[in-house]
Amino acid sequence: MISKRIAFFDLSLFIAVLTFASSSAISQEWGNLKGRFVVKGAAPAPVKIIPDKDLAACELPMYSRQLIISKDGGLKNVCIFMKKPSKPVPVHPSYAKALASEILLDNTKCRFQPHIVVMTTAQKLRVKNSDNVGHNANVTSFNDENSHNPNIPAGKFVDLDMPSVETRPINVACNSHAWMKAYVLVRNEPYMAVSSATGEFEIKNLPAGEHTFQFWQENAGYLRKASSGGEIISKGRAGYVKLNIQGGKTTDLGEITIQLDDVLPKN
Amino acid sequence: MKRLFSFHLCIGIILFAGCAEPPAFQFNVVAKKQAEQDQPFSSQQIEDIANVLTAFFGTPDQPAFPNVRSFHFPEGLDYGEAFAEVVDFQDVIRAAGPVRFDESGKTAGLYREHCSHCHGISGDGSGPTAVTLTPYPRDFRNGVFKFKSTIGKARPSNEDLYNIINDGIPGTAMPAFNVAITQSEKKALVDYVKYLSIRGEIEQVLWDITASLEEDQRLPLVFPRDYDELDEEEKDELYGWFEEEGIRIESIFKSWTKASSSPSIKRPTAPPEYFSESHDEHANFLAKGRAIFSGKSGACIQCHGDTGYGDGELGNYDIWNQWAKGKNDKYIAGFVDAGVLPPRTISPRNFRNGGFRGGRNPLNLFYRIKNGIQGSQMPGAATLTDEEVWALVAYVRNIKNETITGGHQQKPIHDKKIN
Repeated sequence: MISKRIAFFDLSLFIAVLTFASSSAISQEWGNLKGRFVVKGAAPAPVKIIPDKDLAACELPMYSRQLIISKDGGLKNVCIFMKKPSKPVPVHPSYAKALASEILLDNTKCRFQPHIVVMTTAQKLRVKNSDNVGHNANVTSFNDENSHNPNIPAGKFVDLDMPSVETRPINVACNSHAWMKAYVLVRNEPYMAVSSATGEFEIKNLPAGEHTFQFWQENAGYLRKASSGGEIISKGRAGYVKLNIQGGKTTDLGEITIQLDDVLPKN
Repeated sequence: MKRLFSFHLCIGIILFAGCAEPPAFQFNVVAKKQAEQDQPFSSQQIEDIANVLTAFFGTPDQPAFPNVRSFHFPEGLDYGEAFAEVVDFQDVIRAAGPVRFDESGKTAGLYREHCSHCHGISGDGSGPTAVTLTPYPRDFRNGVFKFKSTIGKARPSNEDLYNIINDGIPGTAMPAFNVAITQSEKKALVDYVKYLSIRGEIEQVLWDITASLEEDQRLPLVFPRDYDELDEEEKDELYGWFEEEGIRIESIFKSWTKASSSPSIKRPTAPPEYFSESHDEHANFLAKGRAIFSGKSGACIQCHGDTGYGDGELGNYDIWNQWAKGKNDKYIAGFVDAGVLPPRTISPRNFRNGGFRGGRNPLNLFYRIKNGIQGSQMPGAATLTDEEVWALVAYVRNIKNETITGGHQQKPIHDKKIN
C-alpha cells in the first residue's frame, strides 16, 4: 500500500515538472480566488497603545492592530491559506521570482511592518531594523527550526531560515518594546494572502480543482463561522473551507461575513 | 539498610497520608486550556491523550518506552529506537519511582529524593515547594532550557544538563549537587529530565492536534493497536494523518537526537589575549565592551538599564508564563484555579549584584550573549563578531566594579523589584 502511495507521489511530481518543461504536454489549468471579509456589527473604537519608552522613535498616536475594521465593515489582516494538500500541488511559474526573494519584516517607528507576513519554507525571512533604536525579533514556534531571537541593531538586518511548516501564523515580538507584535505564516505552498484594509484578498494562479482553505484572524484563531452567499462555508474546529477552483476563472466568494463577537478580543 | 528503607517509607506514608494511589502524571493544564479555548474537549478525547501518554511513557512508578510495534510506520521513525538513542532507559528506571535501594544496593528513586519537591512528579516545575520560590523551578515539559551551549530552541546537550545539576543555578533555589550525589546518579537524573521533557513535549503536541479535531473525532494515534491489522482505508487515513500531524511527534525525538550528537554547538574562537585582566590592553577591551553595551550595535541598555541594574525593561513574561500576557484577571484566575502557578513577570539580569544564573565562567557568558537565553526575552547577538561578544563578556563581568559617574542613573528604578 505504502509503496503504491510513493509511486503516486513520484508520478505527480513528474507531472508537475513536465508542466513547466513543456506547457503543451499536459495542460494544468489555473484559477484565481478572491473575496472580501466583512464584519457584521458596530466596530469598536480602536484601542490606543501608550508606549513607555523611546517615544522619539515611535509612531504616535499608536493603535492596536488586533482588530482593524474599515468604515464599511472590511476586516483587515485575515490570513487565508491552503490546508496541507494530501498530494503535492503544482506551483505556477508566476511565483518563481517571489519564491527566490526574501520576505521583509521591517521595524519602523517601533512597530513591525507589516503586521502579518506570509512566506514559504523556501524563502528567508529578512527582519530589518529601520529605526535608530535597537530591536529584537523573538519568533516563537513549536518547531525548533523556526524559533529565533536575534538582536537587530539600528540600521541592520538579519536573514532567518524558516524551514518548518506552521499550522497557523506564529508570533513575533520585540522584547524591549512590549507592545510590538507581528505574525508570520510559513507554508510549503505559496497559495496564501492577507486581507487588505478594505477586507479584500486575492490569490492568483491556483491549480484548478478542489482545495481546502483556512481563514485565520488574530483574536479569533481559525474563523469557524465565516459565511458567503448566506451559507456557512468554514466548517469544524479548524474552520476548513472546501472550494472548487475553476480553471481560467476567478472564483469570487463575494462578501465573506464574520460575526463581530467572533473577532472581539476574548480576554 | 533495611531500617533506612523503612524510614523513607514512613516519611512517604506521612506525606501521602490518606492517598493510597501511587503518584500520577498530571495533565499540562496550560497546554490543554490554550488548545481547547472556548470549545472544551470531549471526555473521550481527554482520555485518549491520557492513554497515548501512558502507552508511550508509562507511569511515575513504572516508566515505559514508547511502544515500538504499535506506533511504528514503515517510513516513519521507530519511536522506541529514537527514544533509546536519546535516553538510557536503565537510568530512567533508576531515577523513577519511590526512593529505594535497587538490587545492587544503589539508591534508586533519585528524582523523588532530590527533585520532585520543587520540579513536581510530572516535571511541571510545580512541586509542593514551587510556589514559595523565586524564580519558580523549571517546568521541563516544553523542552526549553535556558542555560545551554546550543543555539536557539535546540535542545541542551547531555553535558549542559549535567552541568546544571552539578553546578546549580546561582541566585535561585537550584542547589549544586556536585558532591551531594555520585556521577552516575547525576547522569541518571539527566536521563530522567529528558524523559519528562520528551513526554511533556509530546503531550503539548497531542493537545494541539486534538484542537483540530471535531468533538466526535478521536486522536488517530489511539486506534492502530496493530498497524498490520488495519484495512487499506484505515491505513490510508493513518498515513495521511501521520504525514500531516504525526510528523510533529517524530520531530521531537529528532530534536533530542540532534542535541545528543552535539553538532549544533558552535564553539567560539578563543578570547583575545587582552581578555585577561592582567593584560595591559584590558582597560581598552572593557571600554570596547562598554561601547557595544550602551551603543547601537548592542543596545543592551534598552533592557539591562543605563547602568546595568537590570531595570530597562520590566513587566515581560518568559515562555513559561507567557499564557498570562495581556490577559484579564478572570482569565488568569481560571488557570490558577486549575492548578497553574500564579504568573510572574521576569526582569533582565542586574549586573551590579555580580551574580549570573548560568554561571560567570567566560564561556558560559559567551553562549548567553551569542545565542541568547531561550525561553527568556534575551536575544542572541546575531550581528556581533566573536571578538565583540568577548568584549561584552569582559564588560558585564566587570560592571559591578564600575563607578557610576554623574549624569547616569545612580539607583535602580524599581529598587524593590530587582531580583
